[in-house]
Amino acid sequence: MKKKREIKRLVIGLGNTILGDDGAGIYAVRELKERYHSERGLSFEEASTGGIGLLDLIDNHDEVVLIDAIITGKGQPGQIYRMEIDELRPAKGLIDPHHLDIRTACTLGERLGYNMPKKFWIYAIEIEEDKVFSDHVSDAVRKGILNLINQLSTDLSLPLPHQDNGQKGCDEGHSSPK
Amino acid sequence: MSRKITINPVTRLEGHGKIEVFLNEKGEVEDAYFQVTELRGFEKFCIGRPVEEMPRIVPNICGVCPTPHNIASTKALDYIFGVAPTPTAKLVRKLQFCANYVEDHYIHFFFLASPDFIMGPEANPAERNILGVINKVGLDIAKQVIEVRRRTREIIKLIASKPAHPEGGLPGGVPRGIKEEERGFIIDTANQCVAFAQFALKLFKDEIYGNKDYLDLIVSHPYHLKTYYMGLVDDYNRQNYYEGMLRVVDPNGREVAFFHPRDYKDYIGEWVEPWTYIRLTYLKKLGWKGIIEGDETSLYRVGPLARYNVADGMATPLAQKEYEYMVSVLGKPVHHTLAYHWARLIEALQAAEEMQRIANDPMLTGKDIRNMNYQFTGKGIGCVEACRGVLIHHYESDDRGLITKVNLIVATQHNAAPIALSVKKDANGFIKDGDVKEGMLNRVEMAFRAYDPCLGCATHSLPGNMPLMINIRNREGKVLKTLIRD
Repeated sequence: MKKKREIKRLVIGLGNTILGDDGAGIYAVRELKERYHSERGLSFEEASTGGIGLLDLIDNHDEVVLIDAIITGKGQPGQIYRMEIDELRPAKGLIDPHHLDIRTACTLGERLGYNMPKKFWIYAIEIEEDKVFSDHVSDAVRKGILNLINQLSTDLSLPLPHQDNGQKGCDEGHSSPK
Repeated sequence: MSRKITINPVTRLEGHGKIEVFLNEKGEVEDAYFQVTELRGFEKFCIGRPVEEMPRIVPNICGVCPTPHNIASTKALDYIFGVAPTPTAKLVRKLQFCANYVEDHYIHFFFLASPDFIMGPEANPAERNILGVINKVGLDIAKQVIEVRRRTREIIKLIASKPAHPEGGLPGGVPRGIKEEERGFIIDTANQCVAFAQFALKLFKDEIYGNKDYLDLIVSHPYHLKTYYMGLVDDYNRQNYYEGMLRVVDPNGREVAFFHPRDYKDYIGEWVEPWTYIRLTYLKKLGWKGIIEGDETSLYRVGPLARYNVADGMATPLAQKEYEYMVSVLGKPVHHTLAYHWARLIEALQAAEEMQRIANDPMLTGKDIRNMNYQFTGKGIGCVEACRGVLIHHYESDDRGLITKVNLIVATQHNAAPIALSVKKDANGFIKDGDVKEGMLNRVEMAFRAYDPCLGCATHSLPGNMPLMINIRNREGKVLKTLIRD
């Protein structure tokens, strides 16, 4: 019998770890990698810019999850949002090509013959501040990162940590970004 | 815990690429101000850290110019540790730098600049992008751009471990050399880059300078700005992106300053205005004259057009021929802001030829990649020509090597006041009696894009785009109209 091809899944953490909470996506993916590095078909990447830089990473994956910080100004710090790629509007009138929006980058990838993912979700963590240099993450965002990790683990049907010893999820004392 | 939302593209726009246009009582343009995001606390963040951490930290400042920051920082370390890189290390650094030039210039030209011309300045903004260009001229060009980018980034990765944010950078050397078995890939890439550079220039000359309407637009009054220019030159006054002396020419093309970058404080003044976080730069010996153009100004520009104006020529043969052709068409000095694009493509050719030369240099794969004969000085000023213009890193440390002072001057800082002037000139043609005519945003964006201003700084932002926003205000500061892509 022909063996079914393994689904290739990728989780990308986007952010900048010298801008405090802006590094939330990076910290989240580091934590996920530590927990699930041995999970078959699942890989992890850190990225610092969006747009075409992401194309190289997402090529040849079936499912991609992007984790980033966001400032909507309407949510509480640490609040988590989940979006589909289609919910993002394509940009008109760029002034910086390195920040090509994700939707346009995906369309470009399809035109260029990249093997684009069939599923593409975005998880975002609300932050308040991304313009002050710091290598520390606020308590609210740290908590949000832990919540996001648990939610993502559930959404991707990954085993929650410490299941075998009866613990569910991760508590606030779990190792997390400084 | 989780809910679905639709994000408005302006969510994280505040401060990014924002322009404020002020009208006088007659409803005419009085002033235009260009504002960018303020990232606070960088000096505080650095103070007390070991100075050798800087080449690893500074690429994170900017998602657009990480390699220039990395190299400028490493050069500052050379001075702090009083050590010169070995010849092989210098070749490796220059290879990294040239690879960055090729990649960056083509992404700018094909993704940002070419849609205005290939699709036309009046084209629907929804189609005036790289996808529109692909539809019009074919997929092959985009594939070539992406392939050149992929290969040049591979070279950066080879040297500095990560192309987006290089991690290497050691005083007197490089952390990793080039192996002989890697030379073939580098030579192939360099050859491909030279061929593509020639193709890009031909496309530019055929499609843009061969089109009278576009040529008229390029040399039109709104895109003409008379300033001084500053850039690095080598011993023969040719363009050099990695090192050299800073040369300044006046609006008539005459040399008025020639100095080592370590003396930058004697020549470059930094001026604070209440409407911007950017410290505006000006020629110190002339004094601050305000945001004006012409023979009376003390403002200067940096970047490709500035390098064209300050240098007597290019450092490589094919680029030299292209330079001579540009001189024959536009003369020197050139004050046409849209000519930045032409100069940029000639530079990509020089960088590609330079890559070719380095790739074939037997010394490239030498084992002597680090000079550790340190003579600690505690002060270092590193300067390179980033793709967008002169970049200066100035560090000082205590006798333990811990940072006590940091000052950076970036390209967009040099160009900030001229960008405001360019916007003002463009806006003038579109605003009469307080009425804003259609098409203003298009034209202002074109001037703005020519400078390739680096607004990315360290933030990457969801949803990932970064539109320009223009507020038009009356004298009292009330917003009359906001122009933005939505």
